[in-house]
Amino acid sequence: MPKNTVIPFGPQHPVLPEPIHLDLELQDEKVVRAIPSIGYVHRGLEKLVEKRDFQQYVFVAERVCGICSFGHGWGYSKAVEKLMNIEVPKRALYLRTIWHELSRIHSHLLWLGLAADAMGFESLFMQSWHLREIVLDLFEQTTGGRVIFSVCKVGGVRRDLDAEQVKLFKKNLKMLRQELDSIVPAFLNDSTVASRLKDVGVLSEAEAHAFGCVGPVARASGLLEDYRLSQEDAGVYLELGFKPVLEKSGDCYARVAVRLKELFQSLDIIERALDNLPEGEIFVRPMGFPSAGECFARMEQPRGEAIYYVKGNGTKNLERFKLRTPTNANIPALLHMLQGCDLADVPNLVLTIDPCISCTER
Amino acid sequence: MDTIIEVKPQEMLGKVAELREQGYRLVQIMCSMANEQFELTYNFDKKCTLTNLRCFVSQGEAMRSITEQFWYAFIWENEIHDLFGLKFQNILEGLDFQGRFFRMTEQFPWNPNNGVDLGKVKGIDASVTNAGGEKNA
Amino acid sequence: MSYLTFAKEMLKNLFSSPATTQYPLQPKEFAKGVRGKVLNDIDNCIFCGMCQRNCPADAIVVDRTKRTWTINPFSCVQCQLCVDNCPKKCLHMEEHYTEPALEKADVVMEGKPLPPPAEPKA
Repeated sequence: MPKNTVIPFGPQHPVLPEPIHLDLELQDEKVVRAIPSIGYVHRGLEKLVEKRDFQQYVFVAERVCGICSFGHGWGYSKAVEKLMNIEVPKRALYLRTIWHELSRIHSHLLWLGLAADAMGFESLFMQSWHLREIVLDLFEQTTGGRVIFSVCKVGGVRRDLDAEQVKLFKKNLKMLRQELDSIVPAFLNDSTVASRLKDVGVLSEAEAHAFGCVGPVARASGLLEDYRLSQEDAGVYLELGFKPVLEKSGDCYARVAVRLKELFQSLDIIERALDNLPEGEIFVRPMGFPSAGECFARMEQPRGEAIYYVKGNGTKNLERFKLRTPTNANIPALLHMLQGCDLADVPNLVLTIDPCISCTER
Repeated sequence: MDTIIEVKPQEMLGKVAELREQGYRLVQIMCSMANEQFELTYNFDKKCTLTNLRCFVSQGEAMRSITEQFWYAFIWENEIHDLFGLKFQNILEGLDFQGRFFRMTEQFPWNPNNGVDLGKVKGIDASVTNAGGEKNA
Repeated sequence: MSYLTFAKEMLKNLFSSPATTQYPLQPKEFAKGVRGKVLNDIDNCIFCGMCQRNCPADAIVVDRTKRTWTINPFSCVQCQLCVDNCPKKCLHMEEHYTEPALEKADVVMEGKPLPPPAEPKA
């Protein structure tokens, strides 16, 4: 009987933007088992909610992750708004949607670049990140920050878009749409890329359901999991003609395709939101402190669904904040996919769930 | 406001099995401290609606794992163990990380009785808590 | 499926000018409204401490008796809460980031000493 070899993968690995450690048990070139361990970037941000008041904590929540930072700020605000019974003005909701979908484009472009890097296509990696720069500049011009925007607040948003900025937005999005056409064929029609991605790490719909997958990983397997379709979010997203992207094959190629198609879908949503931006207030001042009680809020982040839990006790500080991030839910599927794969495919597979370890550990 | 159904710790596994039969998926297990007790909240999701179960476990007691129903619960069970020091029993073989899921310098940082001696906790086999043991290979 | 799907882009990139800016030679242009370094117009400051209480990063320390206002620019997270909550509107944000430095030093600003209290009329 052959002896198993254990190869440590991470926490430092060229393919990993963030530290996760996997012990890969190998039999020859095949992975038999993968054992994850995390904790390298645990910052105890959830605990900090006891020390910061509920308005200040938005800025801490945003810093849970550098890529879906707007979504985390929104998710936290949504939970506190639910606790305090605040109705956010419609214009603020639209502005939040615009910035959130723009973060999705930012996140997917970043991921596509990393995926290209993982399969050894360096120039495609550079091109994807070059396009991401357009998005970052747009953020800087409209929110004042490139990565952490600090525009979301309990009760609304802090900055408005004027007519000139809307025009700038539309011009840049049009440019982005044209430029995206240069990378799409390289991902979807290239034989070399397809040979790296097709039939690698196949996850069936039943498996995706059984492992609790969320986000693009679930949607690539044909499992319809998108919180933007729920009753709570439908208000804004269905008005904007949102339709989820689904792929059937469930391999790495499908996961790339889902994210590429979501780029265009997010562009559509933002353009429609800019056209139909309602007039009115952008902020309602919350009265008093969060009441005693607890509630959950859910958000569709670029990587999947995140769940925010807040518990108030009637003072200005909240008692507990807990965040379930999409990566948390996708790690089991990753472990399953790694079983039986080739060692050379491991970097591809680890990236394919778009792991965000900072989110996972908070 | 979301409703949270309170159940006894012993009945949790049965309830979870019931929900699984109905097609629910486990979303997360969450722990916080309430009056020196561990307050565990289990969230389940079906078609974008949450069902929440809650139970209280005292310091020094162990909770029964639900990995036999949802194997991927090990992520949260290990996380709660590593951050709060609440021990889960009957975790499926190979999924109990014995305090090495989160690699941290401090043990149980979020437990007010930080550094509780696990050897004295009732209901736990002392051999499993041997920190120097081999990783669950 | 085809080969060399990216060749056209690659050739284009080979002969076009670089996408990056030549940073130290060509300074970065900041957009209007960028949240950068926090500055205090110390002559208008009344040392009320609102900025210190609102700061989520504990970057600002206000000493009322010594009339000093201290900020650690490397702890500051540029959230603009202090600027929004300043009752005298003496805080503002410059439209460029904090310059890199060799150490994370505090910036201390000292207010003018208060004029002696007026003598009560007899």
